[in-house]
Amino acid sequence: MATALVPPPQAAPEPGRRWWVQLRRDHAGMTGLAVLSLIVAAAIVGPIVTPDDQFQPNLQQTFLPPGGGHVLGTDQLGRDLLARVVAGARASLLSGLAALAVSLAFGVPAGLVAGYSGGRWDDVVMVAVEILMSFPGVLLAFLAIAVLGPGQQNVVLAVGLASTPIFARLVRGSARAVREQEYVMAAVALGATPSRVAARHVLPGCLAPVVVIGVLRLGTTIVTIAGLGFLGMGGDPARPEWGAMLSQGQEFLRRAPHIALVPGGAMLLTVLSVNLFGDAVADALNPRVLSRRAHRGG
Amino acid sequence: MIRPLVLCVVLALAVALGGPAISAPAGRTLTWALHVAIDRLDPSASFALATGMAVGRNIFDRLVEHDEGLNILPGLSTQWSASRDGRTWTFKLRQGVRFHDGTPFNADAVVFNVTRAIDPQLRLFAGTFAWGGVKGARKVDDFTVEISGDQPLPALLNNIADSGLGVIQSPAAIQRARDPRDFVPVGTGPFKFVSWVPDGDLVLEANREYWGSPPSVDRLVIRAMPTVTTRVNLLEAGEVDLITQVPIHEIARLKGLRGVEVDARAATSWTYIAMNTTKPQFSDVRVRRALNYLVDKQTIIAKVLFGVGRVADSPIGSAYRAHKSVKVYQYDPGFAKQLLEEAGWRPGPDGVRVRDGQRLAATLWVPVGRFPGGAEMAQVVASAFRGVGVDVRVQELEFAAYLGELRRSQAESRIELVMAGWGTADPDSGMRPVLHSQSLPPRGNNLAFYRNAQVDDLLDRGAAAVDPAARLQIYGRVQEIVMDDAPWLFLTERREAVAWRAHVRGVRFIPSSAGLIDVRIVTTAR
Amino acid sequence: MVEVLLRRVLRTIPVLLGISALVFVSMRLIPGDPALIYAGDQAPGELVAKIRVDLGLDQPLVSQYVIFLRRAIEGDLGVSIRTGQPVAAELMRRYPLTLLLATAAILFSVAVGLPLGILAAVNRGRWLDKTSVVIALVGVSAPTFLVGIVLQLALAVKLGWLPVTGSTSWLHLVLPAVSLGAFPVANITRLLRTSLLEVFGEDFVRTARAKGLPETLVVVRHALKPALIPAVTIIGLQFGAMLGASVFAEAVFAWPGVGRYLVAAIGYRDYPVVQGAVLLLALTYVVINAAVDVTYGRLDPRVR
Repeated sequence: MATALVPPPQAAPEPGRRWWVQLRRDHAGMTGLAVLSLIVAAAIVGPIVTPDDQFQPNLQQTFLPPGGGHVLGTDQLGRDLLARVVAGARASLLSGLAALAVSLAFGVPAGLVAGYSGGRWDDVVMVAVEILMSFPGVLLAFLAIAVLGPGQQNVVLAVGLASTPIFARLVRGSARAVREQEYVMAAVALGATPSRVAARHVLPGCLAPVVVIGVLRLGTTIVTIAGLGFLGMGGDPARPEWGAMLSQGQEFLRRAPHIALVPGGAMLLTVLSVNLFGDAVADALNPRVLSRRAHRGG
Repeated sequence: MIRPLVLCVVLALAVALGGPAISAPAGRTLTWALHVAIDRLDPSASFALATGMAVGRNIFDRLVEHDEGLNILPGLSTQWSASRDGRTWTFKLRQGVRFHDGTPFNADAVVFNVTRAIDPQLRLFAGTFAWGGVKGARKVDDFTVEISGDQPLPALLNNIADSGLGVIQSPAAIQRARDPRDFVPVGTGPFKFVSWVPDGDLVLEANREYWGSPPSVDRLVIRAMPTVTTRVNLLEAGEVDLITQVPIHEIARLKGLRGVEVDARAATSWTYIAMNTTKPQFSDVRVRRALNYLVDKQTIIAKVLFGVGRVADSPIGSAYRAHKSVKVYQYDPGFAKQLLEEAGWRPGPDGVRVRDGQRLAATLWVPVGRFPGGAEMAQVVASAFRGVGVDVRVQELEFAAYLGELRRSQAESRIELVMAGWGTADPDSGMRPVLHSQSLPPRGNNLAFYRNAQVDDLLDRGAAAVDPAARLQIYGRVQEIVMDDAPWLFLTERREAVAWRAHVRGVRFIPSSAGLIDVRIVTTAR
Repeated sequence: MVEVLLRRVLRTIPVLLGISALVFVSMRLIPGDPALIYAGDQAPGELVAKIRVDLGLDQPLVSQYVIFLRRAIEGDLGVSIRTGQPVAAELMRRYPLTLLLATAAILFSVAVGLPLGILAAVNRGRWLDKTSVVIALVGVSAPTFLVGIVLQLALAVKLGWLPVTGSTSWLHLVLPAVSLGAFPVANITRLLRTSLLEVFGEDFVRTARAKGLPETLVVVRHALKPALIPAVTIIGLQFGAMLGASVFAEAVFAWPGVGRYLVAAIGYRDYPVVQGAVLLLALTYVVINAAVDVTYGRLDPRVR
């Protein structure tokens, strides 16, 4: 599984003013946002509009190529691929977001404690981080599924847990730098309790990189969940989730490539959009990066 | 900083690539991509039937052999007979045969092998699988052996010939290998062992002194290749000459390729869905029959299995000599609904049928990757059931978890509907472990928890019947009763497909246990 | 420096212990009996029970763990349940191959990612920037196994340019390395691009430009080196990630490395193999992480 960028451990300086203006000028990022919005819209609206028996097997219509009555063709059980891939958008996006939420829920507090408190807490958290990072993600997923039972929730949990150390390290680094800032020291001097200082003063300073990495991580998570499906994680084989569709479809790559390529393409498009937008946000928020005008002027 | 890094990388590459290089052999080589990794070189000790297929069939011989129709042929024994009570078999052995290490094949060797297989301390699978029921082997003279048990052994010939487990190994070789890791397989078969890399290549060379017709290929390389798509790609690219377990959806395409041939044969095995007859939903035989009428076997085989299968007309597969075509539950949803209504199952407020407060709902378990088209078959069945108010959800299970569930005792079993398969070489082992009331899990594989006194009695008699005609009759009757009683959803028998490059000749396909088609390379010509 | 190093080494021990305990316990938590899987679905129940005893699986967990630890320290990782082969020897046979694959993959990523990153940064805002980034992002937007299968189909089967599977020559390494190396390209490109852009804003670059030096010279001689510093750490971390992800490439191309061995062993509940392989991979990660941290500390003047 890919690890994201680990910025140097220092305070994130204030983003330049009017970062959102710069963001808007980033065409690729805006395109990404637009596509993403379309996909999200489809994910929300799609399953309501398409009737449920789109997911019933129809053995007279198996392996139809794209075109005609079925715009994207049908799969090995005769189900319409367009309907399934749209329904899959919802499942895959939700899974990715859920996994991300898990990572943040565990990683951010852990990193905060480690970075702000330092000392023994720091050691404890960092050892835990190293243990998790040294654990092959494949095994983690297997364990989660095997112990908790097959199904999407447990794959999500496993993938979320596997990404936790990244955020923990990130927040720890930022927290360590932020706690040296004057306004934090001032708060301490004024008698604020450690937890209050941590939550109200340190945490906000750590959030910018978390947002950036989080957005970027979303794409990776979606892809990883699909990869785990390839290794046979079980669950309901009929579920219209991109990873499941992909792993079932790759068997038929010679005979009917569209069965795998349609969900694969959808995933590619989605993750690409997420990444493009995420990159644009990262660029805009990073003040050390010259604005376009300054760069060109040179 | 860069330079030492580059140096390290170059060194690492050199070391790693220098190692596993295989020198090009002289003479003709047949390369076979096997669908699973061989686990060990001693087929008697292995539980993996693939080991029997690859190692057992080509390095070793058995006392008797199967041909493609499951007829018994002479192997290391030229003549055999059973005593009147069926408890003792006398085998006359082939003379002038030597093991690959030069030691002679004789009665001592046979006695050694049988005694070893049934030794309770060694817990060898071959003991129960191939030599089941045997209590002892006795040397009568140098080339005559008596093998006997406490009970009649009508199935012995089939069991020995099946799946490469009843092999005769060189006693000297076994005694030489103190440590199992030093074990070298030494047999009498058409190929001799050269080398083995676990999860990699098994290299064999032709045995020029073979007592039968020697192979006309000089080397046989058996390569472990579990990834399906890769196996097919290898054959197409011409990098291997033969592959087993061709995925069913590729059969038609491969057949159309020039230079490639495919054969899909009936194996003795079949795929079915067991219904837990102790659960309230499935305890009524009318319900079980009704559900059988909801399975559109013809269309499933045509569309999901790409025509590679045969509608079940008996509980067992058609390759069995004892197979009897009893009846087919034709797809008839109207009749099914009628039967369900008669049995008292009426649609409830949510459309799902109920009776006495019990919903007609269940989970259907399918093991991942175990049955070709299994997940799809399950979905089609579940969808047909839901259409008439039977609420079935499909759940895929990882194979290890699946095995665990299958072994639970009745009190702990969570089985409601489960896809399963079975298939052996002899009707006794084909039916008793899955239908006898003494074979309930965890002892056996009667996943439906089926109990029928008449069937029990017939199966017991079949296990003791020495006369082949009587056996046929007894097992025929069992099939009739079971079809009527419908403890299972009868689906299809399995066809196994093997594909090879056109220049390969003389590959023998032998139906064997668990649906494998064993491949014995007899003669090939390039 | 020494103190930092010492602290790292001391921290390694509890980490490794933690991992071994975690693996040990969790493997046994997974439903599934190795004796049963080993025996298969046709073996009678009594035989399975005997096998359990022979494998020592009926002992209490704690004593099993202690025995395992004691032997592991001596270098004996036990014997595979499935094959009876010694685990340590099997791992030593496969480990160099996984390392080789990961190395080749990372070399590929760097060879592709570096130029893309430079192209993107230098042409910031123009179409070359966006195109480079999109190309880099493709690798991380599709699962490794799909990339592998498509490449295998296209280049090996259809076009016959490269062998389908195997591990006996340089050519065999190409497809698996490219498939595996596709996803780090994105991070390397992105990081280098951002890093370069940051460096472009530095005073010394402005000075060089003001002096009228040609742009290429500015980039290569002045900006690139400092920009590479964070890239080095990323490369190290991605190498570690690739050890885990190698299993996907190994499966498609039948590359006989540790990843494939591990996944199969999990399926068989082959405890000794899983424990041994995870320990080995974990040790590698820990070493890599430590090396990355130390290197970063030495390279980045700001951290000092």
